[in-house]
Amino acid sequence: MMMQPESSESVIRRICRVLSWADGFALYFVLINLPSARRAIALQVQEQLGRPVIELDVPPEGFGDTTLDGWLLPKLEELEKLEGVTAESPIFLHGLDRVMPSGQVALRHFLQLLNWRRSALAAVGRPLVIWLPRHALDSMAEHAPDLYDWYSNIYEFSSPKEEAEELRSGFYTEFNTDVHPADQQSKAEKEQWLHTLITLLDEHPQRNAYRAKLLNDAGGLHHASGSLEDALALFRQSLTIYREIGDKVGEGTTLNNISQIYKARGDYDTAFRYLKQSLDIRREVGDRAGEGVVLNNIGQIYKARDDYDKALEYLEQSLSIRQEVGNRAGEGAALDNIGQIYYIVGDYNKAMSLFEQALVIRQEIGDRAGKGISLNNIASIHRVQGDYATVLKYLEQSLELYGEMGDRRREAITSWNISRAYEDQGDLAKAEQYNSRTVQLAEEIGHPSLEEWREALEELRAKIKGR
Amino acid sequence: MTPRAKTIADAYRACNPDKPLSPDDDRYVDLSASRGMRHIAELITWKIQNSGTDAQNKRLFTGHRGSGKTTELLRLQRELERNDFFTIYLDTERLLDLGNLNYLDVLVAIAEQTERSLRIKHIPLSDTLLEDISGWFSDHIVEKTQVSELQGTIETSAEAGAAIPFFAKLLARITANFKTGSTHRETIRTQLNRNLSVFIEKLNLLISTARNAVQQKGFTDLVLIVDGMEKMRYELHQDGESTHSEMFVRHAEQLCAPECHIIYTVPVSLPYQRNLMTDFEITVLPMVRMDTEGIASLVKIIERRVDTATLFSGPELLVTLAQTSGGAVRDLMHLMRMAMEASTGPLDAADVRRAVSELRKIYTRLIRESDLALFRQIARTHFIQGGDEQTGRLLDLRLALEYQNGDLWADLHPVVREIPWVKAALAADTDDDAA
Repeated sequence: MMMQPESSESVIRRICRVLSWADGFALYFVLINLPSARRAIALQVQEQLGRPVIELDVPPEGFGDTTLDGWLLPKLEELEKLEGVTAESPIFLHGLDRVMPSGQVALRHFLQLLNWRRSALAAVGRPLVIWLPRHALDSMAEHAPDLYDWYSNIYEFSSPKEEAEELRSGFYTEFNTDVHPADQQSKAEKEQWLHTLITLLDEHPQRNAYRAKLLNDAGGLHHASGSLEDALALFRQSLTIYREIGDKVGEGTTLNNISQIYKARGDYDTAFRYLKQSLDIRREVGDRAGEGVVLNNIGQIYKARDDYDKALEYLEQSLSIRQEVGNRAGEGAALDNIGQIYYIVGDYNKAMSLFEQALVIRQEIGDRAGKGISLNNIASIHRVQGDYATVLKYLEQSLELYGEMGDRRREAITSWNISRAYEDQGDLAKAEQYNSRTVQLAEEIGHPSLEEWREALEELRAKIKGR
Repeated sequence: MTPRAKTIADAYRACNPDKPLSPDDDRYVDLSASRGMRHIAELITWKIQNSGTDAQNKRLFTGHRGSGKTTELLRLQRELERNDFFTIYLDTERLLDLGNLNYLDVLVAIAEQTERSLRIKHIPLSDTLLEDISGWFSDHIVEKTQVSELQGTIETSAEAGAAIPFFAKLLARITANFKTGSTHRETIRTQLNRNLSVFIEKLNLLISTARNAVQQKGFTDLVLIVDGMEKMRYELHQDGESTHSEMFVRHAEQLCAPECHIIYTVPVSLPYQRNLMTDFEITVLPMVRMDTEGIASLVKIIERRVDTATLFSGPELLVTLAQTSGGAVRDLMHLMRMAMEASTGPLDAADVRRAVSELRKIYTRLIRESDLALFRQIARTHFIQGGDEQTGRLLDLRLALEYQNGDLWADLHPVVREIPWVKAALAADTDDDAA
């Protein structure tokens, strides 16, 4: 049953009620993304509550040598002497988000300090209401889970621009073209997600790691939807910020993502340069998972250049790192990529066994995009073996998957594969139909193989005419 | 008997997600049977009593955050005391820096708290022993400047009549160094590490002396409870080892070194560590089961706090709240508080529905897209394979819960299962299987 969205007035009434029941310490979070709206609602609550509130702003320079309780408790001693303040007066705390560091490591440290100061914080002996933007609470849940879990409630007010979509932190942290998280979403979902990201970008003009991540995520979405130019522009903006703030992990990720745009355009030299930079940084900071991704992508470049020995060397390194860090989706992708090398050099048995291993993993973990790739790969072996009926069976499943997911790039490739299969069978009409669909999709997304596919379509049409 | 809350405001106060019950609170409900195990306090006390004269019980105790661990631990302490054990309770959160915790810090804190607990109870320890150990620390572990500073302060406190031995001052100073992360911290750790076997020998001499002293006073034995270690920071090092495995796997032998009964609270994801040493016995506090009996126990938790006949418009609402909690007592308290916020009279179906939807929203925020694969696996197999960071995260945030149904049995938190897009993803998986 769908419930009516609750009005702000009604949420304010609830907050006032629970604060009037005050009995010692209780923790509340109020989430409002726009700082001005946060102040306005706090004021409304204060007016309706009809009792004095101790309102505090975290100093912009942070807590210095101490942490939240170390700053708050002495301050409270003074404030409790103020007129009108009673034992029941709640504390409204603003600005905690502003002193949260932007680098991942520093942020984690800051929040973890808060996490084990929870007992000390309870010494305030009155309700503590912390006013925050949503992303700040997400970080808190992640890095200060023991403090977070003490909440009595979390109240959320949405600003008009960001309606239904939930912010889920960490969604697009890594971007690896083997299987991009956005590939798993429908077109409509991607658009909605992009809209949310753009809203958040508007609301967070500060050049910090959070903004860089938003830009990177938005770039990833564009890439997954096939808009390479938009993606590249966003990745570059993200890269600039990461470099400004010295966030090496972010820089490594973004460099990798940029390389994939160049690779998709067929500019392997530039792609390789970006990958090499990314690899150096990831090794420097000890980002094993990231190293696995880059090694895989380097292997893919060698493969595209027909240097199969080199390709295998890198892909196998990537596979072993992925197994080591327990990245199942990545393991599937690596097995597949190695299988493709064996396929190209004609060792079909070895290739088939690798493709099947990858398919099993992907089905196990519910990786739809990866499953589509597996189906395509297995189909390609059946094609060499002349088993056209099986080929079509696999490819049609794969096409359906990509259609559902709105992944036009892979839909184009699969469509092309189907058209080849029909041509092999001599069904030129069907082949023409799929080939023309391929060209249409490739035009939409600017696929590097567009010309090749156009020529093939013309040849096919000429052949049909010639009959 | 604690009176049951009759008004909404009193009920709100009675349902507090951040307060464990004291061991004597008559609102305590024994959840052991509903968790599928013997009563934890009795069980562990029994094990300690029957561990034989020479063997000591070394135990790791864990459970989901908000599952009632602290309440049970407080009862364990009382149960042990009832059975004439001398318990020493160490709150690592208060004593040490959980952001940068080393096993050496824990061992020093054990020495410090052992001496302190006995002194407070007026059970004297040999001065010679204390002087020997503090002398050794002064000579080998602490920098000279720190020692002389302290020697200055002793005289003043002696003048004030406080008979605090140098040992206590020195060890308190060392743990303070650990706590505040001073520049001395690493030096002290390096020195301790270099002299590890001697340090452990000294520590054990102190502990055996303390055991002997309490036994002289008529106690059966001494038990150390080291609480709060489950909150220590999790971080993955470059070599693939985490701060957790470094502490509890690599240094298990050292944590077992104190020669007395000892219980450490540890992160809920730890028992999944493949190479966890068998030096420890492990007690996991499972969630309250979602069967009829379990639901009834959870309902009883509410009934002991509030007058449900007055405050609820129907008994079925209590069942809904209990089912939605997934067996996590803290979530039950969250739900109670949320349900009361908007109600004007007795709580009705709409209040409960709103509370359930609020809790769902709160859990939704914690889910990442990358969790879906594991969600599918857990929903399908009802088993948590574990060992990695991601599984640890699910357990840690209560996105996935573990029960004891004779066998271990796991499921997603009930509100997580009902999040529309999670539900859709789980359903899609079933279709795949059929295809």
